[in-house]
Amino acid sequence: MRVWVRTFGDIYLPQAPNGLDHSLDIPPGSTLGDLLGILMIPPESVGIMSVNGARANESRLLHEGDRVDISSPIGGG
Amino acid sequence: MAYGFGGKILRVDLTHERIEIEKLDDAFYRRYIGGMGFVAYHLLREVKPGTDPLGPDNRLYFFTGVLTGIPVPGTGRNSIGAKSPLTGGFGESEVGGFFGVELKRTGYDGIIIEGKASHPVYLVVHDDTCEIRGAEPMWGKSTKESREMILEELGDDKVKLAQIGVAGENQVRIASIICDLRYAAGRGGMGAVMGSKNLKAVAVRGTKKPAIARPDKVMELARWMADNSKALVPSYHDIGTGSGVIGMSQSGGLPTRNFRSGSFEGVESLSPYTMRGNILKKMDGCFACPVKCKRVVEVESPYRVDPAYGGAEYETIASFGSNCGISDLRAIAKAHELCNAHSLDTISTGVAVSFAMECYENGILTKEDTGGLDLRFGNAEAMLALVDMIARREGLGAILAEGTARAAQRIGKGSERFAIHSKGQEIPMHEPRWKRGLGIGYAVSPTGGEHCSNVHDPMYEKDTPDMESVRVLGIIDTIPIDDLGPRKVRLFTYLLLYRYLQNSLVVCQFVPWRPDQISDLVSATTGWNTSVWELLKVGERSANMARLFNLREGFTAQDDRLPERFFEPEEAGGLGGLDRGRFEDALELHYAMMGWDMNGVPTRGKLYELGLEWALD
Ligand code: SF4
Repeated sequence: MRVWVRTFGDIYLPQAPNGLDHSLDIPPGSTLGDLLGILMIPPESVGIMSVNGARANESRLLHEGDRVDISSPIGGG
Repeated sequence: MAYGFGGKILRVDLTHERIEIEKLDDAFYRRYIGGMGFVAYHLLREVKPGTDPLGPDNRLYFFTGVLTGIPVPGTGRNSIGAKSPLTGGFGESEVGGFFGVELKRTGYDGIIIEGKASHPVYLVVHDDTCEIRGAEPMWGKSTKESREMILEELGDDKVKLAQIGVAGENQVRIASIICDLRYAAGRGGMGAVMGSKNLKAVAVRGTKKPAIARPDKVMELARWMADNSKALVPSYHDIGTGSGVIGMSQSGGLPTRNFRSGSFEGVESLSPYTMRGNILKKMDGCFACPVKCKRVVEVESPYRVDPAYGGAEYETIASFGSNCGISDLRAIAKAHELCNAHSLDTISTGVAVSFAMECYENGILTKEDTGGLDLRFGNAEAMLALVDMIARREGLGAILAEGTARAAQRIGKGSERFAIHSKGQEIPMHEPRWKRGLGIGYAVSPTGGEHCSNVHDPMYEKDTPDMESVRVLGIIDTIPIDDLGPRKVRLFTYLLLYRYLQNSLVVCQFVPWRPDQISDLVSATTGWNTSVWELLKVGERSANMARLFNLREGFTAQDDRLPERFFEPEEAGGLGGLDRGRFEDALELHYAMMGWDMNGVPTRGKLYELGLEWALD
């Protein structure tokens, strides 16, 4: 199934053409935690995650077409 | 020979058109290092208690630090200070770009402006020469127009400028000083002080690169940062400081509608992805910096936004965006352009507008007061009109030009509860009900509501590069965001000393140097055999001098306050309010850790320890 991923803050996706957002196929039944593993994002570098705009944690089950946002811990600005 | 500094500063008396050169010795630099440290020292020494911030006896300081202008990332900044017309206390603001480097290259490490010119003038410092020139034709003009006139008159487009627009000329208490159109010394009303002196601009041009004791070591560190900055702070590099808005909104930490809420339904329109796909022209940066976190935006319609003014930072996106209920990045870009053209602080101006919007929605202000503007949250046209009115001191703008706290006193009718400030300075775009330690920082900051010399709690909850950085200071374990106990106070207190060191060296916080690397840079640049310990004491000296200045102006522990709103829950099921008891405990603990008494007054022991015994009386 296909999901869309965007990252915010200091998380880089080496697989994505611009390093920040892309869509990818993941096995059906994957959780948000599985997705982090597939993307090789260490959990300690994650601050907040959301699926379709609602906050979610690693156990959240993903579905076809989900939009996942992953932010690193947010500092000043 | 001195390394890292020129050893002299310029003193310019505008009343008598007198220019003097003052020499400072090596020990003075080692004790106070530059920037904020120099501002605090001079304010305490030469600005008498009760001085009118907008009178000729106030001073306006432009200071660099010992690292300014060495060829490594984050050293392009300078500090601008004065007694603040917004708070009546210690005023200081740092600014990026190139002005500081050019000033340093003149051979002078700083400029002190005193008195008041009888007519509009600008100052030109070109290497050793200094001249006061007439600025009548530039008065009343935008920063861009007057910049073009000055560059043409001087016949040199390499000149760097610190200047004011009409807001500074009109002594608007939230006026900024704008450097080279894109960089702002935003906070504390420094632009109003400049306007009160009839000083339109300071132009600097220098050809002398600062001498460095061990250039090889400095270059090695510069190379390290060039190789690592993208991996350490990729978001700043790719999208800039606005990268956090989505996560902040989802956490309840994005100031929305005058801090009533922490989540904004229109946040997707403010996201960096929206900016990149629509109005972003390119990323840009300051002197020698590979991080390049600054944006340049261009908009054709419905407003024309001139890319010469750069683009909005996170603070500006939130202050004119979510905090005014506005989700149109083009309107925010226009507000940013207006602020840079007129020289207004985007944080304070955004909060002044959101304050007026809340007053309007609660019937405290009516269309009669607003000059017909329908000042509801979300009305971008009304927001833009009001920004212009503030700069020109027109109608309601004249009241808001005094800053939100004074405006609330003037308007009355219970509007005080909508005035979101500390010590009279508007609170920036970070929510203390989410970042709990940050509230202590807002309360104790000598400049009032301030986010740079502060703790941003999420960075220390996990093993981030920032956490690694504070381990050098002895903060070993991660601390939860909502902790407000002794561990958090200790983190805040240590960080504060480090931030004040950064403000005194005037180095950028977004360039991810660790404290030990900063110490290496200072050693390699100056030749001093320094250490993190010695340098933190420099930061601590700055903190204590700023505190002493405020105490002398009549501030007390009662002024270390947060707006009531933060003790109440956010609207619509958002985050809960701060616990007052825990907050007061944390403040008291911070005083104790600083070596201050129960009333927040530095003890004799602390002042002797820091070598500040001269300030005892
Ligand atoms: S990180 Fe950004 S603000 Fe800091 S020096 Fe670099 S470009 Fe300037």
